Parts: sequence; C-alpha cells; structure tokens
Amino acid sequence: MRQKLVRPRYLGLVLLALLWFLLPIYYPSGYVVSTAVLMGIYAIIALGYNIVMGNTGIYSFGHAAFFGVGGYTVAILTVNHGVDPWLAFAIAPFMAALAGLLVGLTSIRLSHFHLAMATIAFNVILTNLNFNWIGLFGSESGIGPMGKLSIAGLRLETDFRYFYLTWTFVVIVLWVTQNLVRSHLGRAMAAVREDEVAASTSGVNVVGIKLMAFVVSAFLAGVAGALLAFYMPYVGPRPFTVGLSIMLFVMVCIGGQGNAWGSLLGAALLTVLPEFLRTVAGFPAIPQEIRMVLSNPSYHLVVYGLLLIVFLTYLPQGLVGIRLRWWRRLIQRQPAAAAQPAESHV
Amino acid sequence: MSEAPLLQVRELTRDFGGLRAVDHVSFDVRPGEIRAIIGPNGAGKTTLIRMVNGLLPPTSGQIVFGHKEIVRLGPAARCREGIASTYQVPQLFAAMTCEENVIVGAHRHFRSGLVSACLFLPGVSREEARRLEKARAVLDFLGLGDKALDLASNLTAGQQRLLEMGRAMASEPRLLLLDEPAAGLNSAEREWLAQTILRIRDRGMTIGLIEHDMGNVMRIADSVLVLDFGQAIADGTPSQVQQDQRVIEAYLGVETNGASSPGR
Repeated sequence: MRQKLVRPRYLGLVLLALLWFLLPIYYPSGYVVSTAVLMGIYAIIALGYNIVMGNTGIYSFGHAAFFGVGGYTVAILTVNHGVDPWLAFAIAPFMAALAGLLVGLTSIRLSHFHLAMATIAFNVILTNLNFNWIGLFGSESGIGPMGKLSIAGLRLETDFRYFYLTWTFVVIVLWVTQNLVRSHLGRAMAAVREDEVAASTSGVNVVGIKLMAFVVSAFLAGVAGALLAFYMPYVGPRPFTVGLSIMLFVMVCIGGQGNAWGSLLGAALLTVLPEFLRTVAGFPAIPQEIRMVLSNPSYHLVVYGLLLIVFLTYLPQGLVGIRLRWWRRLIQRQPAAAAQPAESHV
Repeated sequence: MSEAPLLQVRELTRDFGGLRAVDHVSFDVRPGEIRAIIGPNGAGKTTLIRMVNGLLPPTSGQIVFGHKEIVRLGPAARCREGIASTYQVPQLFAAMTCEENVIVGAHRHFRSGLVSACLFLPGVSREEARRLEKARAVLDFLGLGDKALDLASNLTAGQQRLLEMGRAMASEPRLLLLDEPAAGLNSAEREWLAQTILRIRDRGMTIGLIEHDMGNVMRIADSVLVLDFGQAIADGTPSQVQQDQRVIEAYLGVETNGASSPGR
C-alpha cells in the first residue's frame, strides 16, 4: 500500500492555517486584523497557561502578572533606558520566567486552593502597584509612547505586518509546547497531575517538575507581553489584571484542558466573544434589558461564568473533547468478549 | 551468604502520635532474593515499606541501600538510587495509556533537558524511541502487549496491578518493592502473579514482597520477615518461620496458654 505524504487530518489543518495567514490580505487594516493580533497574543499565553493548568494540573490564577512583567520589561527598557527594541523583546521572557520562578518557589508547594489564592494575591499586588502607586512604573496611564519593532528596515507599525509577526510566534510556541508535552518532561508533568505520590516514587521530582511548568509558562506569557507592548501606544496595567488570569482559565477550560489545539480554540473564541455578544445585542428582537447586558463589557464576565459552568458540568474535556470522543468511537476496538483471546492472564 | 546486603534496615521506628507503628525493626535484603515481609493486618508492613521507598520519614533508624545512607533522601531520589515500588491499591496515571504509564517509570533514565526537549533536538527522539521499545518489551513480558495504547483506567483490577509492576520495572530498579500484589486477585491470577514475580527475580531484580496472606509467599520467598504490632517477631527461611511459635500465635490468635482469642 502506498503511504500518503500528508495525512488527511493534517491536510485540513495546513489548509486552515494557510487561509488564516491570508486573512490580512482581505482585511489589511481595521478591526478584523487587530482582533486577530490580540487573538494571537492571547493564544500564546493560553498555550503557556495550558502547560501549567492542563498538563501539570496546577491551578494558578495569576498568570496575567507574568504577561505584565513581559510587557513592562519591554516598556521600561525601551522608553526609559533607550534599549534596542529587539534586545528588550529578548529580555522580556526571561524577566517573566524569573518572576515565575520566584512566585513558584514561594507557592508551588501549597495545596491547590492555597496556590490559587497566593497567585491571585500576587497578580493583584503587581497590577495595583501600577494602578495606584503613582511614580512606580508610570502609573495608570502607563509608559510610552512605545517604539516599534522593525525587521530589516521594515517597521512593524501596521496591523497587517504585526499580524504576521504575532502569528509566526503563535506557530513557534505551538510547536515548542507540543514538543515539550510529548517529551519525557511533559509526561512527567502529566504524571504529577494524575498522581503525585506515584510520580515521585517513579523518580519524578514533583516540586521540580511543577516549577519547570510554572517557569516555562511564565516565559511564554513574557513573550506575549512583549508582543502586546510593541503593539500598543502605551503600556499600562489594564491588560494585566486578575480578570485576564480568570479569562485564561476559561479559555483553557472551554477549549480543553491539556490540549494545545483546545487552548488555541479557547483563546480565539474568547477574543471574538465580546464582538459576537455586541452583534447579538444589535438584533432588534433582543429585549432592552438583555441588550444592556450583552453590550456592556463589564457584564461579559457573567457570560464567561455561565460558559464555565456549562462546560465544567457537561463538557469537562472542552470543545476538543467533542472531537476526541467522536474520534475514539471510530478507532477503538469493540469491547465485545469475542475480541478477547481465549486464554487471558489476569 | 557472604555477599554484602543490598538493603540494610537498622532499628527503624515510626510513631503516629502515641502509636508506635513500627518498632525498632532491623533486617537485610540480599541481592537477588525474594524477601517477603508478612504479618497480620495492622502489623506495620506498609508503614515499613513507605519508609524504605521514601514516602514516610522514619522517627528514628537507618536505611542503607547499596553502600549509601538514604534515610534523608526523598522518594524521587530513592527511585534514582534504584528503589521502585507498587501500592496496595494500584496508583496509576489513569488518563494516560499503559505505554505512557510504563515510560514514566523510566523517567530516571532520560538525559535530555528542557531546551532540547522543547526544540526536539535529534537526541530526544532517539532516546524516546529507545525507551518506547523497552516499555513495549516490559508490557509484552507482563502479557499486556495488546493493551499498550489503552488508557490505564480501562484495565481490569488484575491488569492494573501488572501495569503498576511494569511501571516499577521500567525504572530498572535494583530493589522492587511490591505491596500486597495479590490482594483482590482470584487463585488463578495469584498463581500467574507468583510465576511473574519469579520471572522478574530471574531477570536479576531483588524483590521485597509484602503480604498479608501466608500461602503463596511461602512457596516463592527466599526469606521471610514476620511483623506483629510493629515488631519483627521472626526472620528466616519460609519453613523456619512457619514453625516459629510466635508466628503461629500471631496468625492464629493462639495465646501462649493455649486459649484462643477470637479478636485476632
């Protein structure tokens, strides 16, 4: 039998990716592309957060803080100290990883609930320092104006160009996280999630692996933070609040915990959701009260909350779970007794 | 007999509040033997094994493995030294396949670091392929070859026990500790299990076997330590132990004066 070069399921994926990369040609600027850029940035953090939450089973609610460390590193270095943009871009993930290491060292040994509280506290402290402590990191209005990145003399100042930079990073991060998850380190993370005791007597350094997951995901949040910083005119505390940390949690939950494609899907959906809700609110048939809720961004948390409840109750494996279930039904051997060999040990 | 012991446990003691679960227990495990530790329920067998594999710090006492004092090492470090264990109730990685469960057991043999894993450098896939092959061989050895890609949670109780043994074997330990592997198995399964343990021993692994029930152990064990109320009451070959008056009392609940106590 002749082997196919590209398996059909990957072919679909490649086509989809190609189409996606053509998007800015149809919409060179404006709302669609800028949403797509944000989508890419959220996708990068979600992919990193998925390693911590989905793969390792650590429920951190402070990941937006590492995102912020990345963004602020870039802003402080370039605006206040005149550092070269790309150099600042390269330093940012390492600063975020360092922050991840410090938070991890203090909180990783805590139980689920306490770790969640500690990371929320960390996030609140870090963003509030910037909101209220005027003078430290440029107050609420932020640091700026931000410079732009350029590649070979080409300034990445349009949404069109920035789209390609961002999504190139998404593809790289997707590749890297998939490699990690499929390696022995990724398996060790999954083992820690499944059973810490058994993992430890199997030779897995539980605290070490958790820290590693934490630091890697903080690093990726730093990459996303740097990307966001060069996309915005000013870097302020608003994008890095606990609200985003919770949104990341929702993204990974509805996409599918422990599945990179799920994280991408979750990030994409939640980036588009506010727009979708606003469009729905525009329909004349929608009653006035509901329209108020749908069009006001501060009520969107209600929708996230409802989504989370629905998914955790009925689809704990997220959207990719639907596909996996269907896939498994297709490939799994029939559990009928006839399939068993006549003589079976134990 | 002149060979140096693989494991030396000296005066090992563990208190839980006011209760002394293990009381100054000392014993040796010689390389290549099947060393059984038996005793009635609550005798302190599991407490003892958890102190040997590092899950429970002892109140006092020493554990020397190879020529190394290991009492201060954590469970992962002891696994890297060459101690692997299974549990009374199998503790598998339920959402992972059988194959993955076994490869996690081989974690200590992987050399590639974070960066090479993330960038999928050439060494990573070679290492992975080698370990996968070994994991498959372990599954075949245990008769689980056709379950490699099934989720661990889909196995029967008996298969789960075997898979857990496979995971422990994959670390290629010098000492394999099995905590009541026969619990919950029927007699045919017990027979198969006893044969498997002998085959593992023949591969050169030393085995520490914890059992509640005397039957099968006496046929396959090379030497037996008997615990009762946290104390070592007998230590010797199976036949020596079986004739020991204190062992008979502990198991049958016969008092020294001959009156039986129904409680134990």
